[in-house]
Amino acid sequence: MAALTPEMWMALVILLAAYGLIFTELIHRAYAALMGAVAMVMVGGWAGFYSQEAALGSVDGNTMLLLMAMMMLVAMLRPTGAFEYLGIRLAKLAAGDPRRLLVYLCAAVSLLSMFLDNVTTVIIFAPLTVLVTRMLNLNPAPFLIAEAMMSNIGGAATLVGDPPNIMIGSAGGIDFVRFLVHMGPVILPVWLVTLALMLFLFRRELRPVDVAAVVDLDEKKAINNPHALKRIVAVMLGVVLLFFVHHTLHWYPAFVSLIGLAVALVWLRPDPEMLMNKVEWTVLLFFAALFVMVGGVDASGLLDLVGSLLASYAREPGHLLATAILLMWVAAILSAVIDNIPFTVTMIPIVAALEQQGVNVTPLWWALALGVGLGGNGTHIGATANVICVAEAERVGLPEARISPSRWLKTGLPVMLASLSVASVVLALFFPAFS
Amino acid sequence: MSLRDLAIPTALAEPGMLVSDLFRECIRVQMPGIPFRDASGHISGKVSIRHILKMTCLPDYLIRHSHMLGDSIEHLRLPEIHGPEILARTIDDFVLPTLPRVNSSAPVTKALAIMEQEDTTYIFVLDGDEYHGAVSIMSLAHCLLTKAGCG
Repeated sequence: MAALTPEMWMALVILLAAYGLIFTELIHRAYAALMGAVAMVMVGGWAGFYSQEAALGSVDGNTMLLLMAMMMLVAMLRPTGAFEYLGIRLAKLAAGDPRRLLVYLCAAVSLLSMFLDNVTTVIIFAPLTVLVTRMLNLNPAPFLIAEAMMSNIGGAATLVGDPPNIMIGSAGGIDFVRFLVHMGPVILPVWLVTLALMLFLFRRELRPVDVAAVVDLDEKKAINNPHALKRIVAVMLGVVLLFFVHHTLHWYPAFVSLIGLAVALVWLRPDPEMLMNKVEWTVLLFFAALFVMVGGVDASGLLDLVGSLLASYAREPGHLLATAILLMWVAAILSAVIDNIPFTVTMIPIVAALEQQGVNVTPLWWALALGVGLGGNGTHIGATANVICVAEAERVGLPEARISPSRWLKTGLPVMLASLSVASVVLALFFPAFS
Repeated sequence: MSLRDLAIPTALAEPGMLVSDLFRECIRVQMPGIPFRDASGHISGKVSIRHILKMTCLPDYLIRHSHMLGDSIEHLRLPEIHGPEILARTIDDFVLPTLPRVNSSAPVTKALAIMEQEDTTYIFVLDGDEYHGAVSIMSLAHCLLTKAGCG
């Protein structure tokens, strides 16, 4: 085994220290990442393995700008009341049937999460779900758990569905359609199996309690600004359509979202202060700092070394499937307990290094995306959407609505294992298509 | 007319005071809230009807979507405790650390500015720990109607 060079040690220590701060939450993760990035550039510059130019170049502009633009678009969509309108319409469509309500809400959050930030989707749907379920004399907890999990699953289906996918697509040169064509056929059966599993696990809570209860909410009153709603929805549809053809037009997904943003800003003229306040700058700072930090580790040669260690195994044709499935499961298990973003940012250069070693990494990109996407359902802290739903359940103020870590685990673990098993089977059965 | 002249003397809430007694006092003086004096004798906060009702009767999800609510909300089975149960509780869990205050020699404009900043319609007139009473926006409006000018 090749020895670690001093540069590799320096980079590794900084990375581990920063990740330790991030995962223990001793300080805000963005601050921890920034400290790590600054330390990496300073040490790297002093030791001669990581220049400031290299650091700047390591920040994936496509990811950063896509995230920023989509945050702003959602910030303009959200105040119109569109999400609430949709939620109430679906609730009324369910006509008081808890199982139908669960299916409709899960479908809505999944679909929305495929194109919009799933955290925002859950932030809006969660309190509305609580209100609707309380009106129907139902326990909101199963619905909140289901929504969080389904938003995570839905977000895993597309290039823009969640940040790890954006990064993976950017690094792997995967366009929107190719991403959907490969991930869709895996996510769909995962979604169906997960839904069936939840209908079974929550069967007691999904029995109708009060047949006379109605959802007495006026969805028309949800719409605050019909004029703005029509415009922003038109822009969002345009952006989604452009995502489907961005590869043909040779446009980065970030550029597509910026086109949509430019049109929306001119058409809607939102208050600049309000809009800028809605952008999650700490999230963007966190991502940028991670890119710089991991870029330093990559520049030290450590990730190439890790890649070369794996390459000898993965290069064998018969081992590639096993490598992909192993990567998916490891990514999932780690994502269940720690933030999946740092893991993804670290894995990307390793997979890229494998490619340089002659390994066909195409299935590994899919495996990584599936693992970090599906693993988040395992625990109550596995994904931000989960944390939001747990907090909302706490706010209900009913003991039976509370989602404790063990309660989440009773659903999350079976869901995670089932979804990974389904994904493994699909990956194995259709491996040539994923290669 | 100074703020001291406009101030309506009220009782002070103290640890162990019942919600029912607080409500009675607020209704008597026509003020939505009164100052809270802690065990050390220091006036350190306030207790208000609005805050008590919000904490006991209004879940966050209800407030957020109140504009869409129909009239059939009895199905909500809110976790609040009703009438006698609320009134039998003590005010200790409902003390707010904010205390909109102004000294008695301050101009009315200053009192209005503080009320606006604190998003409240009443303010307490205190000189140090010496409490003179509460002034509401209604009493200021009444003063403007009945006098040539106030403060």
